[in-house]
Amino acid sequence: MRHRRPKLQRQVGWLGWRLLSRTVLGLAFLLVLGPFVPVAISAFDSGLPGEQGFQGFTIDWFSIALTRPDFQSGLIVSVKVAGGAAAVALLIGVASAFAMTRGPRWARGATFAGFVMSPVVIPQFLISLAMLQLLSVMGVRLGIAGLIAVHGAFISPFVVRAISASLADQGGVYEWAAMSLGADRLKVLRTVTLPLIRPALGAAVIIAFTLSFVNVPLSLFLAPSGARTLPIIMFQELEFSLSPVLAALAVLLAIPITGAVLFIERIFKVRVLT
Amino acid sequence: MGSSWATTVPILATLIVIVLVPVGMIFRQSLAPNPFASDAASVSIQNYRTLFSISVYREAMWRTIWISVLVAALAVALGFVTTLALTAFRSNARSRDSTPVTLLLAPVFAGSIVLVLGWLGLLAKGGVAYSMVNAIRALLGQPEGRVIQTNIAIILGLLQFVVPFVVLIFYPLLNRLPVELYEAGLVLGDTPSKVIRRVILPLAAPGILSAGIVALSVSVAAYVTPQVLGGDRNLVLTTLITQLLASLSPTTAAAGAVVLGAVGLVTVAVYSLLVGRVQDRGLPANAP
Repeated sequence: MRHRRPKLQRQVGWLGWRLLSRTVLGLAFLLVLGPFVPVAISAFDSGLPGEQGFQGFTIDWFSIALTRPDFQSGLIVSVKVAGGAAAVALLIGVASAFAMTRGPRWARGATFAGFVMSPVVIPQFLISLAMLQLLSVMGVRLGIAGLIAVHGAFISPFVVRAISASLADQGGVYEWAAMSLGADRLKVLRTVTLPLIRPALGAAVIIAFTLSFVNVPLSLFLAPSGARTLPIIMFQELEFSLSPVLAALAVLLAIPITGAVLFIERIFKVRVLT
Repeated sequence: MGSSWATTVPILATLIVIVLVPVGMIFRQSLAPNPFASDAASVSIQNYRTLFSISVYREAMWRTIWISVLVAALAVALGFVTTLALTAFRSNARSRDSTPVTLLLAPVFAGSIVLVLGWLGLLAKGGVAYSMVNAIRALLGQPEGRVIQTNIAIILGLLQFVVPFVVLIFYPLLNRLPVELYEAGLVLGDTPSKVIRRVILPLAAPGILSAGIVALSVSVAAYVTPQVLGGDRNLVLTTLITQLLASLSPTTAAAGAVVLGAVGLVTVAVYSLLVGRVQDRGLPANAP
């Protein structure tokens, strides 16, 4: 069979499409990552907001951000809430992922999957407000525990994504093998399934912790006034200009988050995105 | 099947307690005749009448709808082509590295506060985005002016926040395509538009549906971005609701919250119907 040379017109067509997609890719990177640049710059800029151009290098904003008592207490609250929310999300998410991959037929269908993933599309702002109104009518005051529960529920779909992909990859053959060799369900879970999905579990914990840590809309109405989370404190301090103290704080927070997220795939050798 | 209950009850119970009960409650509250009669059996649509009779409120609802639809459309298009460039149209056929995709997810993990901080810097007078927007304005013959506290600022901020969600949905779908796709298409004599129509779009179809739904609901419910970048002059539903709460009209705010939920549901439903119709018409004929 003779190898046919592609027509020039077709070659140009493909080249055009790849160029176009490459251009759009560049635009997307500009749009998505561009806004991080001024935050990083103004954290080190000695000029005050409103002054144009770089006024001089300083690390004073960092020492202010690190020593402010409200930031410190906010950080403690946020770590508690995010830690608890990650645990709750893991509990709900792992259970749902099991149901979706190994459960009864109805739980493996699209309806249950849609239900499990629904928190992604339910407006968090609306739920936060509705919970606030409900609790005030009931006369109940929601402590940190309630905030943790709500955070956990809304972050659980991201855990489901990571875990169910991992469970689907394994396809259940190892479990069947273990069961046919006489292991009971609990033993299979403990010695086969959990070790197999451990990398995905690690990745899910990092994702869940981060998503809860940065959340504003759920904490907006539900965070107790004595225990505001760090993003809420930052939000209440936001004016209509780039505050250098907030920028320094954002840079400080970005370092561990970026490290954790960028290296999830390296450390845990797991596909989080697929 | 004891284990089927153990695995499905947590999510079912949580969603009922956290979603259905409070939303039912806020719906009931929106029908109260006044803020102090929440226990009375009387039902009134006064709150909705207030919401629709004041022009600033109507404007806020309309702004929520058109900005969300515009942002969702731009985000789906941008996210689709971007993901395509990172999967099927990738330059190095051997690289299966997902680091660029992870970078694109940065806004999701950074959180909305950091994002609006960045936009405040970019959009302030002398900022890069400020100059770009005003250059476009000059081309259109419009006068130079501030960008923060305009609709453009809200749209840019939301777009940055929504595109990562779209990429997150398209990536697993399009990553199944072989990287040699364009070479195969080239050698076998297919034009790119034919490959896109016959191979890529059918694979991406479920993604177009769910990406649009997520983009719409995230934009409709966004609060921090319109609050900081739009300000009080460019109210959307969420920022209007917080203003109503601050002005001590919780029942009107409740009605606003119900409208917020309804706007989200209706835009998503209309979108799903449109996509479903296009797919019904388009797919069988093009299916391989």
